[in-house]
Amino acid sequence: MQTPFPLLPTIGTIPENQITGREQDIVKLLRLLRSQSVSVEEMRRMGKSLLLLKLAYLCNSNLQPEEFKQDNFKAKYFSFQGKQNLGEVINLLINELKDFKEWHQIDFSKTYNFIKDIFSVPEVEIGGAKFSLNLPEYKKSWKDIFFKTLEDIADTQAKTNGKLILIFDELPIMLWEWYKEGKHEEAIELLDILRERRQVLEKKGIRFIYCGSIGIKVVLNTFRKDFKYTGEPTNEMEEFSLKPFSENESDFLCECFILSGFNVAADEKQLCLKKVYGLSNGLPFYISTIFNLLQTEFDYNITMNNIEAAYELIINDTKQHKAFKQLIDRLEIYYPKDKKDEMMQILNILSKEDHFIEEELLYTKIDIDNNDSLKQSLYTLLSDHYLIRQVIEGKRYYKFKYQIFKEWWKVNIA
Amino acid sequence: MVESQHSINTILSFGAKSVKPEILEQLLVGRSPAANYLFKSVEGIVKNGNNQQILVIGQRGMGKTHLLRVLYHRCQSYIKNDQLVVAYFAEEEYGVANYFDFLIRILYALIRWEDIDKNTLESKLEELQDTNIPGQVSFAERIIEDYIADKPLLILAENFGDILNAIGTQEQGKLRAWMYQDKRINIIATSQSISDDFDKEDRPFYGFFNLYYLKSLTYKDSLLFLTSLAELDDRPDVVEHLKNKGKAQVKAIYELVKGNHRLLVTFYEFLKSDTLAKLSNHFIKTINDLKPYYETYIRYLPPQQQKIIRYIALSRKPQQGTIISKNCFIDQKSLSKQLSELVRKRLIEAITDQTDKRNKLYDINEPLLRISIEVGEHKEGITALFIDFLAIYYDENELTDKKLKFSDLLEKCESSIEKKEFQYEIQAIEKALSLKRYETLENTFISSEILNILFEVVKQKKYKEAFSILEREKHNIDKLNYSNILFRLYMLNEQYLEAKNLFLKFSDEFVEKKRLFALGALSFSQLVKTENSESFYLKGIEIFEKAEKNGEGSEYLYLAWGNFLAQFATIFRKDEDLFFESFSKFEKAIEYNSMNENIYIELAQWQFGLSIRQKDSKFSIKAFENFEAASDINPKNIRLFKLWGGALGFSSDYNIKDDSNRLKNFKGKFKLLSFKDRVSIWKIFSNVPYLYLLNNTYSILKIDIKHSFDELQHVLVDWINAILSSQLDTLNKADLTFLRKIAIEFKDKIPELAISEIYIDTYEDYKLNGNKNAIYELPKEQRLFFESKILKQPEL
Ligand SMILES: Nc1ncnc2c1ncn2[C@@H]1O[C@H](COP(=O)(O)OP(=O)(O)OP(=O)(O)O)[C@@H](O)[C@H]1O
Ligand SMILES: [Mg+2]
Repeated sequence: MQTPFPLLPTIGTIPENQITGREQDIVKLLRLLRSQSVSVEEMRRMGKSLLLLKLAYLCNSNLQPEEFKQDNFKAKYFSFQGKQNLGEVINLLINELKDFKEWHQIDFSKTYNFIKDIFSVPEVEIGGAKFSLNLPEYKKSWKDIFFKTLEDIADTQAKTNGKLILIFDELPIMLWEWYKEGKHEEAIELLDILRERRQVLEKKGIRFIYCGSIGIKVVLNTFRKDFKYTGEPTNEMEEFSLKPFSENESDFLCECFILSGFNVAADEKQLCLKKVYGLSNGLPFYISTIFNLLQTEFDYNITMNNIEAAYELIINDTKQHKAFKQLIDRLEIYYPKDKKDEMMQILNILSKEDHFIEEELLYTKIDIDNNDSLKQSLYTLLSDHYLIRQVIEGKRYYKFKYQIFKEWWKVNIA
Repeated sequence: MVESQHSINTILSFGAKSVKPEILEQLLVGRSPAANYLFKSVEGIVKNGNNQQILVIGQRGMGKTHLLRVLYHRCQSYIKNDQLVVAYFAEEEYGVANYFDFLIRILYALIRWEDIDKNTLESKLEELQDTNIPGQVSFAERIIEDYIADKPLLILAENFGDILNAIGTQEQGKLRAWMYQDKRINIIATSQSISDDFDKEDRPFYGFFNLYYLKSLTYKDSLLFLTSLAELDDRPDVVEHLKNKGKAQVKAIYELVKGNHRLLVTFYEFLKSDTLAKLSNHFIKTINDLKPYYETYIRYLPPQQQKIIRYIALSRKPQQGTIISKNCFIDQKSLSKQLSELVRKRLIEAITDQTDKRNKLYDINEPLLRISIEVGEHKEGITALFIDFLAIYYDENELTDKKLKFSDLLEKCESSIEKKEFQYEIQAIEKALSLKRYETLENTFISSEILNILFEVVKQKKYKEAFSILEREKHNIDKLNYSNILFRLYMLNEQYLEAKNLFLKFSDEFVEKKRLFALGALSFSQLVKTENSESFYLKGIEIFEKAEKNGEGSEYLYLAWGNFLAQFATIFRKDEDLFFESFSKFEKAIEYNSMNENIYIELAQWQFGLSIRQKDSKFSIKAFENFEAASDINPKNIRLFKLWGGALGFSSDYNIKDDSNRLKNFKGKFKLLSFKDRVSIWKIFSNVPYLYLLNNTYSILKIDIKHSFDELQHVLVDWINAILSSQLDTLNKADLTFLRKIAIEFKDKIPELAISEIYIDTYEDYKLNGNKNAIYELPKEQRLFFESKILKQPEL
């Protein structure tokens, strides 16, 4: 067991060597990655990025769990957020991988020659900051360049007999932004490369992790609907779904926070930790938020009362982050209105139930005539992490995934 | 200790960065927990290798700048020991339009504050400038990364909400991506409120910052704070004062400013100016400085929210949702949405109604905001507020005392500027005194039941009913009050003649006491259209003068006065001096409120008139300047454009020197109007028979017509007809060619233009070629029209 270290509560970034917990998740992920690429999806602020950063950190510093020492995993984290076109994406890849050269001696000369062949541009400085593919005349060949870049990486990779994990954080949201700006063609282009070439690259030892707060499926569905897009770029990619912290992980995080300067009575501590775990549902974001409130509003004093009062603030105080509002926002932003209304109805009903509800029973309680449509909405809510499902004797039962979300929905929406 | 008074003024004002750190620490009253919390975070960053992203939220003047300054100072030893790199942004980081700009600001901040590495950074910056554009972002990132190496970077930024808003979602995304990719980037930022950028699911920084709300100072803190100021200022007398009588005053101040640091500093000047002269200077200056700041702030709110804010501010006390909904004409449902938005933005505050716990009352959260709205709306602008303040701040005896003191000073004083200032103080004090008396009057006024009823009725603008109540209750009200009310009702009901006549029956003493001169003068100014005897004007002028003497001066008084004089001068063809006097009244009005565009418009009108009369361009130049000034204040004032355009048309005719900028300015502003507004203006223009105006605005008109034939088809026809029929000047061949071109261009779409074209041809034949028979080519109705309307021959 690791020893706790002082960590100030934060809901922003955490340096890679201080990201707590997630050991089990990382084991599971790496096992999957041995044979395939993975897509990680969860709602916002659930800890996706930090998990992946930690994974990369462990692999690159040779701290990975024993069973993976042989696999020779290396990983590189990219955040695609805000990238406006393929050119910027390629730039990012090349710029970031420059640091990687020492391990892999990636040779971009192929790409370089390739670009030169096409455009006869005499001086493209590869890898340096001056390298850029944003010029409009390159546009038509971005697709090829993008692939070339990856292929260069993969070729080197194949020789090392290891696996290189390329983590594409916020890929879906970037595509979604492109879509909103009418740049869906470029988005589809990127998806196409990833679809057509992924297996080739995987054979050479590259693994991808697509990660985002909206499912890549949401994007694909929209493309299918709006542009008759038929590709299946995430086919055969395993979907990895993030879980909340276990009680141990939660306790460990709390211990770290406490070391950063909180007061707690020794005999009350265990009780307090339990309380935090219970109220936060083990979601690290809420654990941090509770501690942040304890420092700013309750003078660094951890007591049962203060914890509860902090929790109250999270649920009720308009001054705090509208942490749960994403549950509504998401429905509004990513789905058409009729779908949204239907899903709201479902959530309203489920928020008043304490147990799993059977699908048919739900159908009788709800003002939705079309059973197929209901099924579809339930499925969407399931894959968008609002609900969880149990199948017993062929019947499907649903329930809110997180108690804390359910409470909020019941109080504020239903 | 502080060397000069001056530094006290700057301490918590906009320039807090330049004050000595020790002083800042000493003035940290009420903010120690905040400073300690933030510094603890920095310690965590340095000592534990943690990351922190914190957003400190507090309204203007709550000491955010001060706090960051203290924090920055406390970081010094870490900086010197090479354990931390701090990029301390300037308070107003304007012009940050994207992520790249943000990176550049970091570099600038490093250059500004880190003397040691200045040169290296500067040369890097030059290199960056030579980099091609697409590569710049990553290069800038790299420069920063190289510079900080393995140390943590701490960005201290103010108004971070504004910065995020300015750079937009995508660019925010880039910033966040950088923060996730690069391990040690910390931000401690301030913001006035929390916006969607921190709180909506699809924004990058959704739920990313630890929030820290600054709290208002308590009364006790406020007292302590003021005492610290006095100590720093080396004023033992004030310190003493604050231990005794001053406490009550601080209470009053506290009520007014609700524990806002910056305002407390302002009012510190009052505390100590007890023995000094010029109470008003500081007050007025501060409020004036703040006003534009707030104006821009409100301007960017959605209209409904603006309405709500204004309503609550002007009500001066917390209001119920239902009342707001009624008065702002916003239905309950959207109201509650807007209210909760405003609460979130911390512009208003929701309070539980003590009389009915289920109810909520809403109040303006920020005293500065309320004051600045009031300054904008208050009929009498700043002065009124100052007087209000005096009235709250001092009791009657103190005021009388002060008045005497100032009168003494006035006697002894030599410089005329100072004399003026003392007079102003004395006037203000007198007004505050009369306000105090008036308030007691007003109170009896309200407490009487009848008047209460009247008050309600008047509020709903049911004047008829008010009149009959007043008549009915005549015997229960004393005579003077009765006349006073009657007079006011006449004014409200726009019965100016009755109002004037009644007013003339009042004794001067009564009018003086009730401060009715201004209203009386207004009744005169409203009657200029109907009354036109010289004696009427002379009487009116007399009343205006009395109003001024009685301290009833206001923006409106002077505006009316200016108009009144100009009208008088015009009707009776008085000499120009009277115009000049009128103009000086307008200028006075502008002194009261430089943001009321109507004053400029009125003034411009008269100036233009005078310039035509003098056939000289001197005043027309001024007139156009004032039109422009008005348009800067309110670019949407339709009346302005009608007059402005008209004046441009006229100026072509009166041989008043042309200035192409004049047209350009007009057109530039005109284009910015909404289509609908322009339509209504085109309709007016089409009656102004100036080819010049048509010629010069045609390019805009053309686009508008194409946009909507329905609304504008008559404009062209009318305008061409008006120009043809104008007797003012004869059109030449080129003019007619131009008109014909227009007619032809649109006649497919607007059939009536075909007839206009015929008229144009006929005009040319008849007037230019001298072919008087040309009219007989026209069918009869057209001929009749041409003869009577265009040739203006009397119908046979
Ligand atoms: N392993 C962890 N250890 C400590 N805190 C964590 C951990 N994972 C998540 N958190 C908390 O949750 C917050 C959000 O984590 P992270 O940035 O990884 O979320 P995300 O799912 O990537 O969010 P987004 O969708 O906004 O990108 C962190 O700032 C931290 O407060
Ligand atoms: Mg993330």
